[in-house]
Amino acid sequence: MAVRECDHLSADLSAYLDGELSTERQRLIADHLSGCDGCRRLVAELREVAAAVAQLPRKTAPLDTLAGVREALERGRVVASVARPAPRLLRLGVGITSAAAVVGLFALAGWYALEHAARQSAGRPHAAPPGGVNERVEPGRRTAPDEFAQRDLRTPSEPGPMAGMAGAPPALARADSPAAADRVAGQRWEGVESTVADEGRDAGTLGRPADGLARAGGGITITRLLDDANRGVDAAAFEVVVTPQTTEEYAAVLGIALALQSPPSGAGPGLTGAPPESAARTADLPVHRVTANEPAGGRALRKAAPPTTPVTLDVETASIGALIQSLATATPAAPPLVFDLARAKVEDARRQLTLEPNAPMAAPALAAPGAANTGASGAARDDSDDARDRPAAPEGGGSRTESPPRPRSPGSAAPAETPEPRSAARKPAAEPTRRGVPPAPSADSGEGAQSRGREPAPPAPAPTRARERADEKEADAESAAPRGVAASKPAERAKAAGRGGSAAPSEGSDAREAAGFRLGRAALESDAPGADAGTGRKVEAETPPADIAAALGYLIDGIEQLRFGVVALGEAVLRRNVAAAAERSESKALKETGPGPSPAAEPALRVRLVIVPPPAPPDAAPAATRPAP
Amino acid sequence: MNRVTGEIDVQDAELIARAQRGDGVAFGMLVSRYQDRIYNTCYRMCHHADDAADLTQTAFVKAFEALPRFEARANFFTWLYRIAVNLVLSERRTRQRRPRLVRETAEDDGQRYEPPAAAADDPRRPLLAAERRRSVEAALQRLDEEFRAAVILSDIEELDYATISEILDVPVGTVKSRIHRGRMMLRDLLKRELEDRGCA
Repeated sequence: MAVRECDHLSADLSAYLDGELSTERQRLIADHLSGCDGCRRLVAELREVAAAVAQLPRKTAPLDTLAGVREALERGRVVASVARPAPRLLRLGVGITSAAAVVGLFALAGWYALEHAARQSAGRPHAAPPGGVNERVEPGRRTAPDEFAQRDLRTPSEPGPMAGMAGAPPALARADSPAAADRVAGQRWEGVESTVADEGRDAGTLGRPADGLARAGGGITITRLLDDANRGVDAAAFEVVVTPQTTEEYAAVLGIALALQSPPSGAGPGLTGAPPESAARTADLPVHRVTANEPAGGRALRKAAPPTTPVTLDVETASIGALIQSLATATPAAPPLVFDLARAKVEDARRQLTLEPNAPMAAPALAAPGAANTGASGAARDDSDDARDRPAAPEGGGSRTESPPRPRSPGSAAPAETPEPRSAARKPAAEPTRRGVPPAPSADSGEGAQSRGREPAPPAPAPTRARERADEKEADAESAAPRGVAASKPAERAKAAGRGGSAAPSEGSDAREAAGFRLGRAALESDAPGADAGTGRKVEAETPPADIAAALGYLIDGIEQLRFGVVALGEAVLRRNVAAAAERSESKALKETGPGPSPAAEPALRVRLVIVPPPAPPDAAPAATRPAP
Repeated sequence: MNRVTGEIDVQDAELIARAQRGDGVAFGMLVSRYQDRIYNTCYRMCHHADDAADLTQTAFVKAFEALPRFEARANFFTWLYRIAVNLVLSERRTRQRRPRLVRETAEDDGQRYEPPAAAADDPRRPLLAAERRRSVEAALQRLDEEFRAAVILSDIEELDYATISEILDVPVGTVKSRIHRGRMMLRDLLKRELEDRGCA
């Protein structure tokens, strides 16, 4: 009887496993299995077989699938089967070569975006190359007039004419649909993400310690590519999640992000064009204020409204083309100004976040290679310190991040080998900050740049530099306080604050305030009584450099991660587009129609920074109500 | 296992409507959406990369040509799969009459898998995993076409039986039978291989 029942039910065991039977039948088989070892064993084997088949690796379509479909449709024929080895290999080779070139350009562009911003903030005009930028992005440029084959389209809401198959220029689309981005991220980008991860793990080959982020404690990770990441070869968007580990790191990273955002009226090809929603979010950012030194030593940031939710900011490069243009006009051997930009942004961020030291910093992080390296941000500072300690001569073995080869311009001054105190707080109030005029590099900034043997940043005007040095000496003499000594006098703090540069807002800071920046020094000054309202301890007058170093580390990590992301993008997304473009560039149709339309005027490399607040330190006192001045 | 049902994708419907109006971009988006899955299915069925690529392209070309006749209430995904599977089966039948003389890619190695003698004693886990994968691939290729198609659509593409029946154009009961028999064959093949290894 039992054998007959097994025979009767065994045909349904696979369907039972798949849940394809009716409830009654499912229950019947379950009852049978409870008393039949043989069928139970068979079910287990079938389950194992199904799992083994399901675990077979998934293959992805070759690069030229889309182009092949288009070609077949154009020729009005169906390629039924069989091999076509030579054309395929030829196209593949062309595609890979082109993709590699485009990836390289994108990596340079991503890297160079920040330099561009630095140049913009330094007021150095960019000389446009006579040939335009399109020639620089030859492998990936939109020479092909076929949107159908060139774009790796994923968003159905994007309208497109049939003429797209015949020659309409691809429009640069923006990701306006988070839901679509999520969907795409969940369904389509696993490979890209894994590629990013792989790149990160294999970062040593790209010139960066693979464990850099791990050493930073928190880190920056690219979680996904936004929806428009695959809109052709000149648009990309990444979401980068930053997870600072301490409040100060959080504030500094936040400040950097805010500084990278341009004011609404911001012009220029650097970092510009913060989306409206980003500005709205900016307006809701918590106000930070310096309150007291923590038991562990050092000043701590407190927030009137402690951040609990991630802050999302969009940073957008105006134009990859412009970046390539910048690259074209730069000295071929001149590397990006990442470190200079980092310093400038950190300074700016400190002003925005009222992190300006109102007392001298005896051992600034960026200028003192031997600065103490403790705390949660120590790892990040390690990175920056390592980079700072790099010898001036371009070294081939160093990583690009930590030690990019930076040739010194003929006119550059000899590097100051001795660390100088940070001088941001002692800059004249009227000193320009960011946009349109050269940022007065802090002592560490200048030293740091020069110590790496590069002179990409414009040297500060001599009077400013001299005044800055004088201010530094004056401030040093005024405070004459070793690290850890509190400046308890509100007047001194106010005086120091007045020199900090943000008391007299510059053009850039005005614009940022117009954009909703509320990270002002009002919060700081409201804490000025010299003792923390919450703890009663005296306010630490000296800013430990860890936050700057950490922020710099984060920024550098972010840039590197962005590079990885760009590379991954090129490998995992652009390959199809580029292969198709390369194929079309050689096609007869293209020769007949001539070169395609010029690429979009404003291709964008967009980074959406999601800055996750760190967990509240266990010993941190709750945010106190703001004391009356 | 969350199986894919044959529900109509709203985005697909919109794209199809646009493509039927001559929107090449919309059809390109459809290609982008499904090319990997179609290619994977073709590859698993024919186990040859170039053939799978050609079949994938051909499936999309045929879909484009037949798009004006596509009914909006149908599922594009199912319809596309049907085109692709039929193409593969047709191609395989043709190829059986015209046997391949040269193995062009390494993927063909799995078609005549012979387990290495010392594999069972190899302590390296990754290698064993690769061995296992090759064994499964080889066993899958030994199945008859109809069983292989059913197993692939079920276990790799994770389609439900109703959708598979639409794709293969057979009743659901037949799908159930083919899947079960296919898995039983795979089990027997893999068991036999293990026994061979043990003997070796």
